Amino acid sequence: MLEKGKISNKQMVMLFTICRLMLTMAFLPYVNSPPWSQDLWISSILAFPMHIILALPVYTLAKRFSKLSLIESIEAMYVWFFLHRTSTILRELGEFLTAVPYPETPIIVFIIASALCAAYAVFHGLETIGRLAEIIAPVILSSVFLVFLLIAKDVDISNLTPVLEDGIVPVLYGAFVIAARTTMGMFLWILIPYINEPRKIRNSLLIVFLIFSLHLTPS
Amino acid sequence: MLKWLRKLNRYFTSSNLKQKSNHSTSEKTETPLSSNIEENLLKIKDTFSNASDIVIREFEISTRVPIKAFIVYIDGLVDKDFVQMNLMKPLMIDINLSKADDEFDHKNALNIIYQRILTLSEVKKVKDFHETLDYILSGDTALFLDGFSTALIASLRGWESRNITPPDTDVVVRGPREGFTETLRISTSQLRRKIKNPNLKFEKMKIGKQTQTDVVIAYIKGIADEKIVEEVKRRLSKIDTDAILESGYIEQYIEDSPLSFLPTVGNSEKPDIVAAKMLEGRVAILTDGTPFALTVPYLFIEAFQSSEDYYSRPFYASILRLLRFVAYFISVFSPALYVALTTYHQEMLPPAMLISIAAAREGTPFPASVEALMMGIIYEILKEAGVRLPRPVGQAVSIVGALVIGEAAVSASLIGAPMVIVVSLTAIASYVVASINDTVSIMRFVYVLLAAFLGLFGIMIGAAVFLTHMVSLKSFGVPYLSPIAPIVTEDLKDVFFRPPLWKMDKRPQLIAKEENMVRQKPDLMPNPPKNDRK
Repeated sequence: MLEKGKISNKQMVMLFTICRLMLTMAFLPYVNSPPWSQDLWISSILAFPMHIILALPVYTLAKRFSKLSLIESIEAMYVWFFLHRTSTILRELGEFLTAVPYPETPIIVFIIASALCAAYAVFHGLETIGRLAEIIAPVILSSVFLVFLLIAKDVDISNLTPVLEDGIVPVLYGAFVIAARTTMGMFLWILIPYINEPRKIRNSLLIVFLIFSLHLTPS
Repeated sequence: MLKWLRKLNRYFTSSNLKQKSNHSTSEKTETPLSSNIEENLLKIKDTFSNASDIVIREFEISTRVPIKAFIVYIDGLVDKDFVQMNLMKPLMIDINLSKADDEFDHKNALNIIYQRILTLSEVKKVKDFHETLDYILSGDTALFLDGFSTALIASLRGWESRNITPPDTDVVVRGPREGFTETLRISTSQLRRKIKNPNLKFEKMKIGKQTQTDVVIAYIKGIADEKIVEEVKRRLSKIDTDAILESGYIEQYIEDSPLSFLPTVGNSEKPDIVAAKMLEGRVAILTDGTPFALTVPYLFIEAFQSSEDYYSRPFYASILRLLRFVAYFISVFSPALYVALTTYHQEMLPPAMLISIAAAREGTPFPASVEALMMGIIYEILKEAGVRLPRPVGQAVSIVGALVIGEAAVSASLIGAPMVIVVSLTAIASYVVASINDTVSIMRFVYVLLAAFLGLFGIMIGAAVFLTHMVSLKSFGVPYLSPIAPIVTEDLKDVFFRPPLWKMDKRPQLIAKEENMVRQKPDLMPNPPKNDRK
């Protein structure tokens, strides 16, 4: 194994939180998902059990081969997957920045700057990334909370009625889509051998999914 | 590119591993002293030729069987009165009057002098020539007797030293005002007076091939982690250099990340601060010749913790602690934020503010980024000049700085008034967290440049890289940003707030020895009886 560092389960929770939250906050992809209606919040909550169902195979495998990392198990295909995934994420960030605050700057500037930034973190290893997550995640979570507090006066609960207008099926569908978007099963798997308490991984995962579902519901 | 990087890396690491230490006295070849006094005298005179401050006094011990003797010391390092009264007088006069005279002969002269004649508390017997030289150079007086290959070393040191005065750094309103001085012995005594405990250890080392500087590793056995103590010793013994003139020399030879601009070794001038740090399990390194003691491991948050926080009551101290963090962020980010907001993100400012800023910047020739860099450089110049200038001129400089550069530049509309406000706010704020002032200055310029190129995104990228760098650092095995990252729940309460003393039951988790974490009995919260008289 190249990487010798270990990260704590707490750090894993925060890493996952960051990697999902940033995207969802920038794009609100759930607005465009089924059930396309005011019942989206129910989908968001129901996504929690869906998350669990989707992560179950990965979790079972992780339990069995907790010492093998993703690359060691199934190599080349997943290298390509990660390249693709990383470039998508960089592109998404760049698109977000060129769309609103920097309309005249070429997108490559943001992609290169972010990539260099990420490369520097990778250069220092997983332990550093874990500690970084421990600083950034509380900042993000508290700012989400702060924003929610500040807009609380404008919240109109009546927008959420009628509840379940088209029945439960589209809502369930939406929950599935939300959970399926979370491709983090893959990320998860590659981090398994570096976690210092593999036994507690179930609790950590549950916390991650809970944070996802809860933060989406108000947004 | 990668090859080149690797080469660079090897260059910086290899120099550390190249040589093993060969400095200390132990590796010098042993040359025993001769039993012939003339030979010893010749050797000493030869060694100290052309050294005008050496004093050699030959005399005779006036007993029934007279014995030739001489003493050697360095003028200015010994207390002459004491040498005359307590070394020369007993040997030349008192020995006649005592009973020892009758038993005195060439065989037991040394023992009799050592045990019955010299009324000094600190006398050592030394057989090695180089060891004798070390003692003489450190200010001891050596006594040689004819017929003995042993020298008696009497410690009669006394030299002019500075009085204990309030130091210029770490100024407090409430708390002890004494500071360390340049004399190592006085510093150790100040620490010993704070911590009256046999577990307080002072391990001595000599570093510097030419200067032979005394360095003391101070720690409290049982509280300090042995691994850290061992690591300190290992790093100190690796220093193989000519001179250690200040503890800064040692700091630069032992720090974890010499290529980082963040300090990973702390320093302090005050015994109470050093004692408090040792009580938390840290190791202090005291150096002869400087009032600054080093403490390791040094964490980032120590810059925000003042000794006065713990001496005053917790409420206002907690507010001050938070205020220091705010001031730190202001001093690092405010010029960069101003540049980013006025150049790229005008929409983020409230309209009224935007209009007044635009009005103030009307007619100024430079863009905000150039203004910020210029004012930053001018401020650094003023600061440096203020430190170096003689005191009477200092006032003139502050008037020139404040009036000419601030007021006149604005009224001549060379620089916008908001920029002056931002820079002066920055300057004041950077002194709230004085101990990491230098890194703040560097960061400020970097952020202004980044903000000039990429606006808020540039600041964000810079902050991300800086944060990554900070969390990657370690100081003697302890993560630099702990207890924030990694989170140490137990210690987190003493970061942004100052908890009441009766709540701080445990020592810092990553620093103190694992088996001995408890600082005090739990539930020490004062709880006076309710039934007192009305």
